[in-house]
This record gives sequence, structure tokens and C-alpha cells, in this order.
Amino acid sequence: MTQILHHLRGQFSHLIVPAGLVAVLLLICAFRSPQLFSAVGAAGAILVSAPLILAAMAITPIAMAGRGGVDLSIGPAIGFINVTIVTWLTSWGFESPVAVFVFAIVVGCIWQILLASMIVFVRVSPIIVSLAGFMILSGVNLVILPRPGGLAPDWLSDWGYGTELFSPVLFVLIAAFVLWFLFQRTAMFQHIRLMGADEKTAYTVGININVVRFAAHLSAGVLTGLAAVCLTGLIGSGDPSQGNTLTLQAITALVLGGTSLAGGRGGVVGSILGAIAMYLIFVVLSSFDFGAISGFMTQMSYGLILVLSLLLTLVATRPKPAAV
Amino acid sequence: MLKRLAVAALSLPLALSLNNAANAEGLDELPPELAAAYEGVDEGQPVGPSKYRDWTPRSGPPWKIGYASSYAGNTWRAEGMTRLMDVMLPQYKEAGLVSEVKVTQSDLNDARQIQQIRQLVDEGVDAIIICCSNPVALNKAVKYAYDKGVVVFSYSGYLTSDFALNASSNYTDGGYQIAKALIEEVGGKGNFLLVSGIPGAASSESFDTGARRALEEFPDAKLVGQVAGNWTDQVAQTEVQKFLATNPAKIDGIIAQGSQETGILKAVLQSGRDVMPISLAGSAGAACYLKKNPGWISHAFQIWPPGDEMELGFNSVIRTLQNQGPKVQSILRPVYRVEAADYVASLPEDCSIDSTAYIQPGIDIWFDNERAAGYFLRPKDPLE
Repeated sequence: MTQILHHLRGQFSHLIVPAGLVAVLLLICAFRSPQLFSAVGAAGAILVSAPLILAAMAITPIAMAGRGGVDLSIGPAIGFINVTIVTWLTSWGFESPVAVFVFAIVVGCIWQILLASMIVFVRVSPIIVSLAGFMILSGVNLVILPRPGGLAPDWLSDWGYGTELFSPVLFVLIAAFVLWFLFQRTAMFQHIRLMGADEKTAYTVGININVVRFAAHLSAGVLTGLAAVCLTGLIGSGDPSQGNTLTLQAITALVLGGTSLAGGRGGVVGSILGAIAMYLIFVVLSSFDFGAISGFMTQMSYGLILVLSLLLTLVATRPKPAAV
Repeated sequence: MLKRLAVAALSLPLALSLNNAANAEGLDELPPELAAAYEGVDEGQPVGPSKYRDWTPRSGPPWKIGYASSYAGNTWRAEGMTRLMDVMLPQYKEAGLVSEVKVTQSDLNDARQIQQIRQLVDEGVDAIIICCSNPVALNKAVKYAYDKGVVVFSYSGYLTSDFALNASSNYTDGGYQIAKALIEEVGGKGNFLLVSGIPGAASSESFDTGARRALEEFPDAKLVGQVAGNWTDQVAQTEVQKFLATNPAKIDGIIAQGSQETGILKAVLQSGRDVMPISLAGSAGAACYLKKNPGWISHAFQIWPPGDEMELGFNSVIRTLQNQGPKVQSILRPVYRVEAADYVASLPEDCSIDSTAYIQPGIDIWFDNERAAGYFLRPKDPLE
């Protein structure tokens, strides 16, 4: 029994800190911002946090695949899909939900295939590839849509009211979770973990590491598309610079969730908890009035909580010395 | 295709007549000199009759006001915040109109700003002011506020929602007039550099649209470059330095958006070139150079004086809460031009060109009771 517990603790140890953080923040919210626990408040929370949750989920498999793969381009990629939905897709006359979802997911996957090809065939380090991608797409987004504007299809911008708890946004999130947990049961997912933990070993035991890396990026592409649809629903329009802010937030959520940037350890549950924690930190801080310095207070608190959580994660995930 | 064209041709006069019908309430009620300021406005800016013509808040005074600020990282924002917290808040508190102002900050992130607007509404504020944000992204949050009896007022930029109110200058017209005046200053021809604000930000793009319109009117005026100064002196200085270092051609004038002309001037001084005319729009540092070098440029403009813009927004919010009934969705103040001598009059003799302060017309010129009366159905001095 204790062995099983030990094993579980080993497998889920990286979730202790983010789960604890979310619990503590929920407790503070109960006092500071009780509205969050009403149906309307929860609906608003789901609406606003969905793009970040999905973006954090999207970069998780790439980080798990190792080589220090942090997808810096995630934000502008989401931004790219957002601006192309409101400019290209609507001008082509495709406004149905099916068209929007298919378009978003396909574009997300194409982008990730491009990144993976650069990493696998040109052998450039993932961080450099995704940094270049960040810069390229940041510029491209401004060319496509020089200023915030355009209109999302009506059915999509109606998501933005966020007053119904059982909203399309919630169903998109649930669908993403279900897809992920199905993916987690495949051998491919185990290969991603193994490759992230030790690429040489994975190669030696006969795993086709190139295919595995493409699989990690493709799963990220699907989630990128879903994140972009949720962002478009939230702002009901296109915004060339909005996506960029998601990159740092998604990486913060990923790290808060205990996923190791060195690859191997971690998982999407941590990233989801990390994203929820970031949202709650923000709600708690917004409930105070810091007057003219509130912006700086928010940033500072963010930084401090992040550092503290990382320290705690370090302690929680440290391997115990074997009992003699 | 032909059929489509026919439908379009038929529907155009219909749309125009509908527009006129809508304008019978709203723009048509404005005094002609104020209505003139709506010429050439951004096509996205809503100028129909406001939803608040006969609107009363849930309770009060005193009212609780939320300020869902989107950014705090430059002198322009800081100046607006100072005016709000240190000048207006005590004034309005004493008058028994405002109980508190709660400030939130979203660091240019739409999702956060949406969250904060909803949170402010849930906390029971009576009105929310915002500044210069994405014109569409906040619309659903504005509706959320409206449904709960809270008015959202955007100053220094606009929201496209029918349930929002807006107050600012006409920035497209501002860009047009500022560029035109500068081109005329150097004789209607020559090479010009355009220093924009933040690419992608609505006010910045509006200004540029107007400036290009002016450039088209002068066939001999050539735009040889465009850089983004982010409305921040340091950024503008670096960008203009880089441009001047890599473009040996003579620059006859620099068309600049406000809040960064001091940085631009410094870059020109450092480059060793003769100082060409630069658009002036309220930065005290560059204004000081004008005071010490009379004749450098004959005029200045004010289209977004930071404190006065904030005061225009806040003043309009209080009037709306007092059931004064704003006629139009957007209060557009005409572009303000001032001659050089008057512009520098308030500066001390020992001013510094390094100053990061602003010269502002002051609310008595910017939005006095007489001017405000034109925009409201039942105007009165809000502080009386």
C-alpha cells in the first residue's frame, strides 16, 4: 500500500504545488471576490481563462518532448489564426462553426508541422525556431490586420457574453480535455515522454524519434486552433497584438504546473492548474485597489508568487534519498 | 455579379436615407461648429444617438467610479492618472459626487481588461472609464455592464458598442491637420518622416490615416520613411536616430504624433543636422526648445493632452450619471490649434528641453461648460 502511495506521489508530485496554489487562491477568492462562485461569475471565469488554459495545454507536449522545447511562437500563432478568421475566412464567406473550427485546427497544425520540420530536418534548436516563428508571425499579423478590428461570425462573438455556465466555451474545454486523455492512453504519448526524458535511449530502443516529435507538435497544433477559436469568441474581433501576450503567460502556466522544461516530466493537468492559478491570482489582485500603482503591483505579485511556487515545486519534486 | 451591383446601387440611397433618419436624433442636434468636428471621422467610430439620453444610475450620488486602465507605462498615462487621483477626485469628493475611484490595470491584455470590467461591475461601481483600448474586444463586457445599470465611457479612443459612450478629439482629422500644417510650414514640398505611435493601436492608425490624406494633397511632398515611437520619448528618440543615421537624404520636416516630440527633437540635435520643423503637440521639452528658438515653428496642436482628456472623460461620465443626457455616442472635440507665442507662454524662462512634463490647454479651454452644453440635452455644471 505504502509502495503504491509512494509510486503515486512520484508520478503526481509535480502537481502538489499548483493544486495547493489553486486551493489557497480559491479560498482567498471566497472572501475577496465571492461573485466568482455564482453561475454568472463562473461563466465569466471560464470565458476569460479558456484561451490561456488551451494555450498552456498546447505547449505542454512540445516541452515534454525535450531538447528544451519551449514554443515561444504559441501566442502569435493564436493571434494569426484569430486575425485570419476575422479577415480571410469571413471574406471567403465561410462563417459556419464547422468551417471556423476546421480552419483553426488545420492552420494550427500546419504551423506546428513547419516548426517541427525546421527542428527535425534542419536541426535547429527548438527555442531558436520558435523564437523566429514568434517574430515572423508578430509581423505577419500586423500586415494582415494593421489595427484591432473586424468582426467574428455572430455565433462566435456571442460567446463573449459569458453569462451562461454551460456555454460553448465550456464544451470546447471539455472536448480538449477528453481528446488529451485519449491521446495520453496511446503508445505515442509514452514515446513522447520517453524521448523527452532521454532521447538517446528512445532512439536506441527503436522509437522513430522524428515521427514522435511531429506527433507532439501536431497535438499542440490542434490545441492552438482551439485556443484561437476561444480567443476570437472572447474578443469578438481580430487583434494583431493580443496573441503575443499569451506566449509568456502560457509558459508561466506551464512552469507553474510543474512541467520540466528539460523534457520528460510533467503533463497537461499541471498546465491547466497553472493557467487557472494565474487567472485566480489576477482576480484576487484586481479585487484590491492599489490606485495609481496597481499595474506595477500586479506584475510584482505575479513575479513573487511565481518564484515562490517554483521553489516549492523544486522541494516537492526532489527525489527522496532511498531508504537504507 | 450584375444583380449584386444593382442591389448595391439600390440599397445605397436607402442606407443613406436611413442614416439621415438616424441622424435626426444625435448629430443633427449638435451646434454646427461642434458637428463640423465629426468630418472624416474613423468609419468605425459610432456617431449615432446615445443610449443614455434619458438614463439614470441605480442610485447616488455619491457614485463609485471604476477606472479599468489598460496600461501605465509611459508619461502620458501617468499624467492622466495624476490628474484623476490628485486633482479631480478630491474636487468631486468634496462636491459629494464621487465616493471613490477604483483603478485596475490590464497591461494591454484584452482578456484581463474584460475580466476587470466584469469584476468592477460585480463590485457595484456606477460607471467605468476606460482609455484607448481595442475598439471591439470589450463590447460584450460593455453590454454586461449596461445590463446591470453601469455605463462604460471610453476616453481618448472609442468602442464600437452601442452601449458605450466615447469622448476624444477626432484623431483622423488631427493627423490630417497636423500633417497639413507642417507641410505648409516648409513650403508645401520636400522629404518628410512620419513618427507614428504604436502600430495596431486604433488612435495611432487614425492619426496616420489622416496624415497620409494630407500628404496626398501635396504632390511635391514625399514621405521618405515611417518609424514607430510608441508614444514614448525614449523609443521615438532611438528610432529617429536609427533612421537619420541610415538615411543621408535631407529631411525637411518630421510629422509626429504627440507625446514623443521631445525624443524626436533630441535625436535630430544629436544627429548634428539643422533642426527642421517637427510637429508639436504638448510635450514641454520640445516646447522649451521653441521658447529658446522663436521662429522654429509657427504653431502647435493639442489633440490628446493627457490630463485634459482624462478630465473630459470623467466630466462626461459625471454629467451622464446626473441624467444630463449625452446626445451622441461619441463626444468629438474639434482639433485645437494654438499659435507659437501662446503655446510657450506658460513655460518659465529657465525651462529645460529634457522636461517630460506636458503643456495642456486646461479644462477651461478643452471642455468648458459652454462647449460641453452643446453635447448634452440637459446641460449644467456638474460641480454645482
